[in-house]
Amino acid sequence: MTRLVLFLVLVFATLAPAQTAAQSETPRHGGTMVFAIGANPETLNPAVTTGVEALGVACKMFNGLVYLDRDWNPQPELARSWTVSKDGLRIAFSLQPNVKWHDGQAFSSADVKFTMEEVLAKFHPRTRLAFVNVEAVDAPDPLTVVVRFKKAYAPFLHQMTCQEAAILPRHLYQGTDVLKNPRNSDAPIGTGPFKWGRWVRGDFIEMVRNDQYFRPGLPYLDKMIAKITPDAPARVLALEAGDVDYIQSFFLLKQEVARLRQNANLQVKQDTDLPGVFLLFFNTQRKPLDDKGVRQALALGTNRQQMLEQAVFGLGSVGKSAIHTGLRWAYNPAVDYTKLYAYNASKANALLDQAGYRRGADGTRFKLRLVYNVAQAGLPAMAEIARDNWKALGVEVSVEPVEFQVTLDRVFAKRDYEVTLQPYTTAGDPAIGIARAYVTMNEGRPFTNPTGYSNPKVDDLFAQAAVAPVRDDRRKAYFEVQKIIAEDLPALVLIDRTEVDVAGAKFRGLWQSAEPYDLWDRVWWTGGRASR
Amino acid sequence: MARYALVRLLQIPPVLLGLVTVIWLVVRLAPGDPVLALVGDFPAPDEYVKRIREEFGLDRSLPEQFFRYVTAVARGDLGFSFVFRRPVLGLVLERAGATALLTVTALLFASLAGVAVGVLSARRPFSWVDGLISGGSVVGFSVPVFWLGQLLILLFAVTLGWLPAQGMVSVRENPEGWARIRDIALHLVLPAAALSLRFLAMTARLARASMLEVLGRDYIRTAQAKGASGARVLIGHALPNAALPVLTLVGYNLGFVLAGSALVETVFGWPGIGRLLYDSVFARDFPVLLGIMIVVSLTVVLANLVTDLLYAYVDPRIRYRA
Repeated sequence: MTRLVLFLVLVFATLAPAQTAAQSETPRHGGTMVFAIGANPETLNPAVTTGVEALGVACKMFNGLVYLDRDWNPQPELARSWTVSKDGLRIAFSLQPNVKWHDGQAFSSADVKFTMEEVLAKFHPRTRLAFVNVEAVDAPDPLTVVVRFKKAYAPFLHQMTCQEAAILPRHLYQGTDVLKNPRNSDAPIGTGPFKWGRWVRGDFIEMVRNDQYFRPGLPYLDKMIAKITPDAPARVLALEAGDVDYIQSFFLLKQEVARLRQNANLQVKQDTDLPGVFLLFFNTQRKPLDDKGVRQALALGTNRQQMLEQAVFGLGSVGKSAIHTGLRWAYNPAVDYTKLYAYNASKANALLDQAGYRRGADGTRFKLRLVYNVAQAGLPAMAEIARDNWKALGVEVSVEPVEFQVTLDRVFAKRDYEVTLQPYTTAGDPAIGIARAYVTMNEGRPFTNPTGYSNPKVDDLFAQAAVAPVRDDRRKAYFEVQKIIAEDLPALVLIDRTEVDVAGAKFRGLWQSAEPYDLWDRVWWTGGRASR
Repeated sequence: MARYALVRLLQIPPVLLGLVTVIWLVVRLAPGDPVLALVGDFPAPDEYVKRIREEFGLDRSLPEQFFRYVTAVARGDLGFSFVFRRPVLGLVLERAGATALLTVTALLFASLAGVAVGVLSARRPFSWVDGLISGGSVVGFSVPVFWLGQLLILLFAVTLGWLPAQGMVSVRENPEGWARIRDIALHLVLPAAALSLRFLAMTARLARASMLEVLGRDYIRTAQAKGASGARVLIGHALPNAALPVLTLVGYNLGFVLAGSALVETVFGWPGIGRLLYDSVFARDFPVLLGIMIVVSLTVVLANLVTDLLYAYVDPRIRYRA
């Protein structure tokens, strides 16, 4: 207990001054921020990729129509305001006036229409699915865009961020092969706070302040530099040496967080990104996992608290339901896996006996193969804990760590596994990130539902929730579906993750958006000038 | 000599064809789908996957893909990267300079310092200096390069703050002219040291053994009897003969240094082809993977040729009969 108190005191000691200072201080101008990324971005076109490197760089030069605030509510970015019709079949965006592309051309509704129809609907790996519901995109005047839907699609507005739907310049992309356009790899033109500087391949990418940015007076910083630092431990060392000022959660070695919190030159911020989860999928097409009693028993026999502490260093909480507790409006508090499936080996053993899987002469009931991506931080430790936990149930686990590509092949394409551990992002909305793990999926597509579980009621409720324009109706469907999943348990949520970023203590104004890609125009450096 | 060189040159194309075939097969038979790697961690629509497959010719049969690849390579076309969507040759060439700088520096340092250390060690065999050097060589030979790299960063960049931790130039300042050369040299110290240690140790061991053998020869005794100084005997008489095996080792080492540079480049964020190779493996970016392997194999084959020719030139006893 004293340790916990001490820890909390330390956490507040490092965080509190930074926050109060940020509130009371006046932003200063100038300075450079160097942020670490793990590899060369495969493209600088944010509208055709979900790559973290690409978005981390490109979203400083491009904008979406909206950004998400800390509570995941859409706020004005390139769109000044919007109205959604009552039936959800029409969204009208009113665009910011006086926005210029970095080459001086005026930004208009034609750019938005072109990007939506010709780029996002065709090439964006994730947002492409949202546009299946779109009937047409109209641009009645230069500052208005109207999206008409065949079928209402509730998360659409939340997907209009730079991460999911960055707007491209029509005058540079129209009539070209979008994926091979030279602007994707050199001198991209956006509307964002920073403009293209230069790219020393494999080393760094430099971006400079956009003096014509549509938000007057912003950005505060003069330069943004993405430093390519491939090795994760070396990345942390570069941060400590002062070569790098910021590491986003995706690139941060989580076992270093506790140590970095003690460093007075750094600030550590938790909860910096849309929530993600670690899932344990059961292949329900294989015996004995076709029996939900067995799945429940295995859930009861899994010490998820131990996984939280040892595999992800306490960064998160034990999963409570199919819907991440961070999605407060959609999470059903009546469903709580920490009570339903609280770690209890004897109860688990009893359930397995009851299901008819008695121990053999050697004490073993059955064998399972557990497949996971060995390169994904946290999973190797979770796999070992599961093997250890289930041994006590008489379940022999053969742990099969494989490379990422092999995971895709074995788990999703061939379903050649019994149990697998997978990290999933919720993408901030159950319709985008959560439904895919539970709805019926007969083909072997990556990062969908690999379990063979199929429940028409579940499919129906997720479908209803995705199209209901009113959040209360969506909530009802999600509340209902969580109860069914808690009982059927095709997958067990092991951990609701929280993300952690680290930055130099001299930077302010960070983390104003729920996504790590937006609002870099407001970041400032305490060593800067009083005026520009 | 000229004929020998010609025969050796003619051997290169079949060697390369064999290499390309083996590498192509190994790469393509490994599990994993580049299209899946490309579409990311979300379900992709079928028509999207289909279009990408067609775009990169992945919908054709394997023999057809192989034939198209080999004929393209013969024309000097290394193909088009799935991930970067740019021609492979450009991708490789823009990184080759950094890798060349790192590997040549490391190899040069390892060879010169290795010979010096080996000579020092052989001067008084089984003395404490020799023992220290021999022990050090074993450590230097066995220490994992990525771990050594991190220790070097921790000591010289984080704790002492003498040298930069990452990359090839300082990104905050943008030095020009001499300042830039100095900046690159400072960035080069740690990765080159990490990369060279293993080869320095190997060279030192070989140079020591070779020196000891030469020092036992009659002509050395004659030189000593004629009153030549210790240093003159060592440097003027023994070293030229003892250095011959070391020369072979340098050519032989080049391949290993290039392979080792992948790890060193990763740890130090050095913008060379090593890291590109590593990323292409995980992305199943076949054209880049194959392109790098071909360029590297060609370099190694050529380096070995040059070493052999040099060897024949330096050692008058060896005039190969082709």
